[in-house]
Amino acid sequence: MAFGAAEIIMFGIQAGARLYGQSRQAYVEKTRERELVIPLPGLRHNKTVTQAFAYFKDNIQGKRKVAESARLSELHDMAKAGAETFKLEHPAEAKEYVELYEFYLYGDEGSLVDDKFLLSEIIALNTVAQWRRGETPHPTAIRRIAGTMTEIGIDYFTSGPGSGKLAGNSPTKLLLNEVLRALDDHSFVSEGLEGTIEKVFIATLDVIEENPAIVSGDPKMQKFVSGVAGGVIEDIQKRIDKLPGNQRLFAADRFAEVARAVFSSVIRNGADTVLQNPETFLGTKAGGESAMASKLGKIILDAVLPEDSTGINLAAIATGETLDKLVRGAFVVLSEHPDLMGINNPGIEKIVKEIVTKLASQTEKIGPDLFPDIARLVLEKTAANLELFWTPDGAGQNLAVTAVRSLLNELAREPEEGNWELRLSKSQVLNVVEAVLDDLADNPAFVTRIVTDKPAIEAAIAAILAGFACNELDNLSMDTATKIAIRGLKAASERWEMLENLQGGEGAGRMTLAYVIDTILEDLTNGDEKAIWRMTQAHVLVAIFDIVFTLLTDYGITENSLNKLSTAIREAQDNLEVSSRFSIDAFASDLESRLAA
Amino acid sequence: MSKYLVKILKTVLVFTILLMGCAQYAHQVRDAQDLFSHGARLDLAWKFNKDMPVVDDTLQESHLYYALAVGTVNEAIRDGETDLRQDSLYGTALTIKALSLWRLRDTAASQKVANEVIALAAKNSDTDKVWPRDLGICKSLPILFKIDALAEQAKKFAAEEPKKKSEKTIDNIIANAKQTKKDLDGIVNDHILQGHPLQLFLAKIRCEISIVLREAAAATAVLPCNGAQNYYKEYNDFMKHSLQHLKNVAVTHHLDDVVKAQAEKSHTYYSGILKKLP
Repeated sequence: MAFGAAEIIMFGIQAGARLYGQSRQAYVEKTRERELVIPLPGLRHNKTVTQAFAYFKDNIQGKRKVAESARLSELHDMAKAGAETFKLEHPAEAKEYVELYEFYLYGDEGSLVDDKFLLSEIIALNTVAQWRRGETPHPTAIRRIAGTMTEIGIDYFTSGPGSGKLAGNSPTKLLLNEVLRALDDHSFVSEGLEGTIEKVFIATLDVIEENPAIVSGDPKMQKFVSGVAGGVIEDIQKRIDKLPGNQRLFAADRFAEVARAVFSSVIRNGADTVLQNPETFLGTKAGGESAMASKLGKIILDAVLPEDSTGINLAAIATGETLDKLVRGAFVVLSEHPDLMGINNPGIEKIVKEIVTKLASQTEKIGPDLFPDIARLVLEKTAANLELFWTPDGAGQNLAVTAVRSLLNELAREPEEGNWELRLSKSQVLNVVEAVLDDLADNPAFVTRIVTDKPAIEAAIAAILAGFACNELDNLSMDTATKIAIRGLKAASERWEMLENLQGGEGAGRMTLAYVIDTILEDLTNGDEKAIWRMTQAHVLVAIFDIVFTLLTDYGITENSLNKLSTAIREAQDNLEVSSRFSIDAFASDLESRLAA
Repeated sequence: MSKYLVKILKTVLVFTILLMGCAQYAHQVRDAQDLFSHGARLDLAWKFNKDMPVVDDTLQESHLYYALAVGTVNEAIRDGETDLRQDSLYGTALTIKALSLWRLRDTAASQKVANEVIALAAKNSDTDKVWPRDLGICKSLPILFKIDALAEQAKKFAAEEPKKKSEKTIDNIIANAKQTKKDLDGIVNDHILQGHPLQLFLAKIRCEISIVLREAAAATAVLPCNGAQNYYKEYNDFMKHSLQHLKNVAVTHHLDDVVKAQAEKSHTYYSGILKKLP
């Protein structure tokens, strides 16, 4: 039986209508359950003239103080007229008398109990629940909406998209059974959690419909799906519980949507990897599978929904393609480094969270839709170079994140007015990011070494942009500039001198890398029309930079070698003017012989 | 399938918005709860001599919140009494009103509302139920009124000129305190509050009676000769029993671990406040 849009919409409306009824009931029940702060009757807990008088008159220590102090004795005599008279006729002295009483009490006891209690503690001590803990007559969230879920399930499997899939001991039935059992075991009770459970349940139906392979009857897959579902809901419950009461219901709706998206994405993108590596992702100990699987959902949820979030400013990263790429990337890291997946090993959570928190907003400045691919690249490269990039105890933690962040920082910077601007397309940015991560794998110090208060890599990008700043070539395309930048970055990662300032000559005070790019571009614009025509073609330009960076890396960078570079370029231009002869190989050979001399 | 899911989610959202409309009386009860609890925070800040940011007169400010809580309950009941009764929130709403009126010093009105809650509970209806804390509070209110009255009596006695202080007055105060304690014993043993966290509140108000007695007993220090000693002893005995009761409340009433920890902290506090008179 085929299902059209009308049937599907009707199914959705019916499901929503049932959820509405249950949610209203939950709202009412939670209103009955709310705690109240209850004030106390009687007197204010302050020290009074009456108390002070009794102390100084009848307490042994109090009497001693009066005997020792003429001033106190004077005040005590005034107090004999009665507390009210004393306060009315000598208010300042009455106040002093009570302060002395407090002072001596403090001396007698070492501290006053009033000072030890904060107002927040006092309020907590006077907050009273409606019921004794654990004795609320209201059902847990899962039981409360059990009826609703049953009805949705009936519709789905009898006349809806899942028609016929529940026959006998079908794999679908076993899978659903496992998911429901896992949810019930958690005893979720938080206010507003019903929506999350409902959405995860519907997402399970969605997964069944979308990925028949998941419903294979394999018990490990059942553990995977139920474990992720339970883990995601449990994490949402923790977040809801941390919010003030008046924010819970509104946040719960947003949280539920994130939970659904994360659950679906982890199942959709992780099922194959999990089944291929069951020991890694589900553990080898019987019964431990759910704990391992629940961690998978939490890893992603922790990254996209920070613990203190109210959901109001949820970034778009919590949905769709971004989430899928993040999940796939995380599974790549985990496949390569299963040791990061231990129950008590927070490694993979930290890696994913760092990528989201440090790169998501940064990429928005460069261009929309960049984050998913950058996250994927960073995760893949991290997986391939974990021992080099990942410093769990260090400040930056993942060098790849620091490197990409440095790159994005510089690319987002507005150039000075009149300067040539590097405006890269999405694929060009990704090419540079990949090259940076490859350079980093070659030389991790590219990030850890600091140059002019920045990681070396950031200084290198800044130098490249400075080198392009005065470009006057009309035909320098973004693609060509990207290729030159990539080669420049590689040269900087291979030769420290590229990031040093020149000591003498024309470029004195400028960073070598910037000077080299600037000089080549400037020299090439100084030739005659024939030379410019030939030597500034994109592939020739890229080849010239390639040769220059390679040879300067090999032969070293000095004022002398830079002069030789300019001479070689001028010689090539002269040859072109005089004999019309120019070949890239000849230029390379000429420059090498000059540098070697 | 994803389109189907989007539709479901949109529908759920629409119904969630509708929910807020249909449960508006429950929402008003929540507002009243929030207003009352905020008033109580200010009230406690005043009683325990603690500052509240940006509030000069916490007691006066608390009265404003109590009055708003009363208004909110009145409004909810006026428009939605039937709904509130069906949802078993009517008793909860009235309890907030009774508590607020108590703090606003309108004890007669407070008692009347509390009586309505107690009568409602006695009906034992399947739908219009009264929940245990709310019922416990309403039953305790007369004792709270008495403690406040006792406090006024003690303050008045302390303010009297030494020569005018009469032993008859202090004897009366002590007798009233003992009667209030007896009344309290009756509530403590009410089956509805067996094992209920409200037992801790009741144990604390026993200590509050002691604080009132301390003021009255200390005020006898001006009596000639050793006239004060008997009253000091009355207070000391009362205080000792109050603290003992607070110390044992968690065990006596089988309170859960969270309330047990609260009881221990409360005992630390009141032990520091309630010192023996010489």
